[in-house]
Amino acid sequence: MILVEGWNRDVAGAREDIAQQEWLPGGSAVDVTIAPTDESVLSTTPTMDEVFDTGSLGSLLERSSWVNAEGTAIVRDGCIEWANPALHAICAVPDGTLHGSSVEVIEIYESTEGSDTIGVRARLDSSLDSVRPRRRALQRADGSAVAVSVAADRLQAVPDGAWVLRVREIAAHVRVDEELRTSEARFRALADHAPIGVFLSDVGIRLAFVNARFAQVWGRPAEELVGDRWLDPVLASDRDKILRAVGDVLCGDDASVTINVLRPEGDVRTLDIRFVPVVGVDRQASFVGSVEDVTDARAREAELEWQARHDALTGLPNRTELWEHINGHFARTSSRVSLLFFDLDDFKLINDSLGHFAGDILLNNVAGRLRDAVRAEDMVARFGGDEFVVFCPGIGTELEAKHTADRLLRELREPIDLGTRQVRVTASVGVIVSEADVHDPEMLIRDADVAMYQAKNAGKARAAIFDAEARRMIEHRLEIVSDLRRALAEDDVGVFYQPIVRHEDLQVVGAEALLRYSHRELGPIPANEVIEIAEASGCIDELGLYVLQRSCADLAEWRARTVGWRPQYISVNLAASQLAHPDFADQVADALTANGLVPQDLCLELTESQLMTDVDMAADVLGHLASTGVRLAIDDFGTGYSSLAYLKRFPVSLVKIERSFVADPEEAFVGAIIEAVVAVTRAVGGRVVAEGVENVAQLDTVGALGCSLIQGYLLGRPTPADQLPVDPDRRFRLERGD
Amino acid sequence: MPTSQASAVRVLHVVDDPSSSAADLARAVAVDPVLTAQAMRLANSAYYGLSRRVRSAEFAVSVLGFATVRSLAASFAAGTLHKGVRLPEHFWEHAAATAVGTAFVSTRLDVDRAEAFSLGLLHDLGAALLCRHDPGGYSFVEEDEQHRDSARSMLVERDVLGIDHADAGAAVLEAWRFPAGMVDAIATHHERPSGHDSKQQRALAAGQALAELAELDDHEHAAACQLVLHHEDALQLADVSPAAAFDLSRMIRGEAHAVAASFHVSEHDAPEGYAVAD
Repeated sequence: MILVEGWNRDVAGAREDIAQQEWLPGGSAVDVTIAPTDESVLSTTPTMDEVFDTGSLGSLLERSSWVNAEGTAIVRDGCIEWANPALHAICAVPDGTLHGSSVEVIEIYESTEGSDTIGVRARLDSSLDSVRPRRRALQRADGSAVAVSVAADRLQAVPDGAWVLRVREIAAHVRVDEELRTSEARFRALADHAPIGVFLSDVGIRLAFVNARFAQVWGRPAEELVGDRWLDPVLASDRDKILRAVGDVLCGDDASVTINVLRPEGDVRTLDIRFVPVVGVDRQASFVGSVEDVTDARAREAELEWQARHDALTGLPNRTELWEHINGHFARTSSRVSLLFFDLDDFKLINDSLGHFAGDILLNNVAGRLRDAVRAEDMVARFGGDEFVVFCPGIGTELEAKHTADRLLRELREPIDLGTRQVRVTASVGVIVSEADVHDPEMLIRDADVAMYQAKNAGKARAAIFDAEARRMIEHRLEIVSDLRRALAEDDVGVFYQPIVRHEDLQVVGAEALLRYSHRELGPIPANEVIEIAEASGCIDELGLYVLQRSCADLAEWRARTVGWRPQYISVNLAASQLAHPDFADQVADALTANGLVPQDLCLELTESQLMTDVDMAADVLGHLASTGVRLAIDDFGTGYSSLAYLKRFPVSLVKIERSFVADPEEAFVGAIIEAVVAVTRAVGGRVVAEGVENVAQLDTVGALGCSLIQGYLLGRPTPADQLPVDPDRRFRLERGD
Repeated sequence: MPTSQASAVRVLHVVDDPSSSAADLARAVAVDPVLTAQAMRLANSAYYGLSRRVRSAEFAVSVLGFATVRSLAASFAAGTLHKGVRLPEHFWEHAAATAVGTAFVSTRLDVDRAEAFSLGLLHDLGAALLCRHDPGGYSFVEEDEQHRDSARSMLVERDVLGIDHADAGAAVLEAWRFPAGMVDAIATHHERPSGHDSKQQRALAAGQALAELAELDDHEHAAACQLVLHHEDALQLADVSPAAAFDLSRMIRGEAHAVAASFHVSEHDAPEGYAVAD
């Protein structure tokens, strides 16, 4: 070690330590100080004389490979005594021409810098042992300048202070830098104009770059967001989320976070930020990322979510929302709750007569009244068309619940202004209070619905508390309906026939088709119950058509036989809804032609009340059918309004007197009534049938009163088609004792 | 020199090996508790904004980057991290302010930020060395009232101590194989700025100017204006307008304080399980 003086001993000591670690190859690197420390050079330097001869030192240096990597010169008294080919090349001059020239050739002085600048020469004159590399400009022979790094070390072995100068061209690096800058400028332009906010990290949580879109999203200039200032407008509650995400991304994981930022205008935007880890050249953890303003998207999502859970017309929660609300309630507590199921009475009538627009106004009005009248913790939901459900989590007794329902009904009773007119609306309300252990919204709503039907059946405009018995009935009905549908599909519904006999000679003239249905598990179900259930469940049309077709087929079969029944017609009961079916006339015609029958073979029986439901339509359809030859009968005459006007209005061929008249024809006035009906019926060209004739006395009385046709157990019970007696006429005669 | 220098040398070695990972460097750092504690304190300082979330040496190394870890190792090897060591007046305050300032202007000069930060942190390392090895001589230099004048203070140092602190720091860093650009910039940091200066030289010159501005109090307007005029060239070469210089210096002040605080360690600050080595 040669250049050690004073404090330098420590530096040299450090170098020795480093050399001992064997990771700093002593003296072989270009930037490390000069030859005198290079043992190989010194060991081949035999005498001081040779060293004084700089030419021989120069030739010595030339043999060292590292010397040729950069420009090297030996300088004494400001004069270049020797320079290697590399330095000549840097200066763009022929080899050897630098020998003897001033050292100042490698530095351009700027006149403005004056005496402050310690130039190469001045430094070489100082008492130092070495000069650290400096950037200098070098004037080349062709006049161009080249940037170089210049370093110098004193040759300690030479007493009068010769220096070894090292000159490295740095223009090449500069050019690479320029290219990098150009390419970076292109990427920067790309990032700057990207439609999505992007950013690059600096150190830690700091940002070095944000693009225009990022600045726009933040509502601040980009300069105000670099560093850690991008965090300032983030809502305090979200800062920890960002810190956590940045911690993750700096540890090498992708991270994303949704935060809210307060903009200078005072609005808060919701932003999605994604972070991707990047390891820099310096192996410093950093990240890049993107930011997206999702405020509007979130708002749209929230709106869609709201729409999915609310009714568009009234703004009330819908079925889904109600469901989850109740479930949510039971998830928190198991206290009893009440549920009120509202169904507006005769809403269809208002809709049909005043139009849907008026109907909507009315629904809105009802919704508003209910909502205003309930307590804050209650929920009013629109369940269906004109159905509303009020969920009261705080009401746990039937008394309270009924009281609430009555109060709400009073609220609804006030007239509603529909613009052109005022209407009063009533509702039927089903009330249910949950059992302590029942937490199923579906069951609650179903029971409330059942109770609502009870309220309807009890005369509408009232509230009914759910009755468990009623539910059992409903369940019973449901059971029947489902089996009835199966029976219809599997042709498992029975049709029995009861003969209709001519009084004068007891000849069979017709047969009434009667429904016989037996549930698979519950056994036989009375026909009137089956029909009621079928009407309520909407399968009455199907059932009616089935009976019509079966009857026609059976009649055709009897006709085909050589012995047995030969009724002139078959009598089939109709339901009102069948009459309203647009294809009914066609169904009748099809059933007849399919079995080779004529219209006169069929008699359709209707009750007065069925005719009444829509008199005009019934008159049209029945008039048409009658014109083709189908017979019409009014059933159970005497039970309804018994308006004789029907007999004029409809082309009736048979009137069937209700069985209660027949049961005791001797009673006061009954005989007179029967006589009157017979007289009127005859007047319009029809005949009267006495139903329910059970004994000979009845038979004789009704016959005397003018009933020309008889039906009843006396003359034959309802019987399956395949069990009909071969010659019923004979039996009737024998029984009567003729 | 403290005997623990070997661990610093190992750190420098790992930094220089391009195949080293953050985990490798963290292992090398973790050998020395003082160095580890310093790395953790700096990474947890407000400057990095991570709010004391850095709890492992590896995370600290990742956050700081290799360049900064290397500059910590160099500071450590030079003895400046050790408790009770005599340092020039306001040494860490000035180093931190210059580090933050240089890092601030690094982007516009296309200098790597971590390198810029290290430049500032280490630019006066030579002064610390001189102060340690010739405390009397260094006191004399410090007392020289003219020491704000760069050229003069350098001459005084050379007269009194035989070498100026710029050359002293550069010599050490060069021996430790710091990048030539950094060594050059530190060697010349008291020279007058020129258009031929490298980007590192420009960054450091501007960083020093901003640091000096930041070290003034808010009310010292006249002094601030004088400083800006004095450093007009340095600021101009880094593309910093006088107005921007005032703005930047205000920002630098707070952050420099956070960085400097991480270097002021008392025994109470030492993390649990770490003894502060002497």
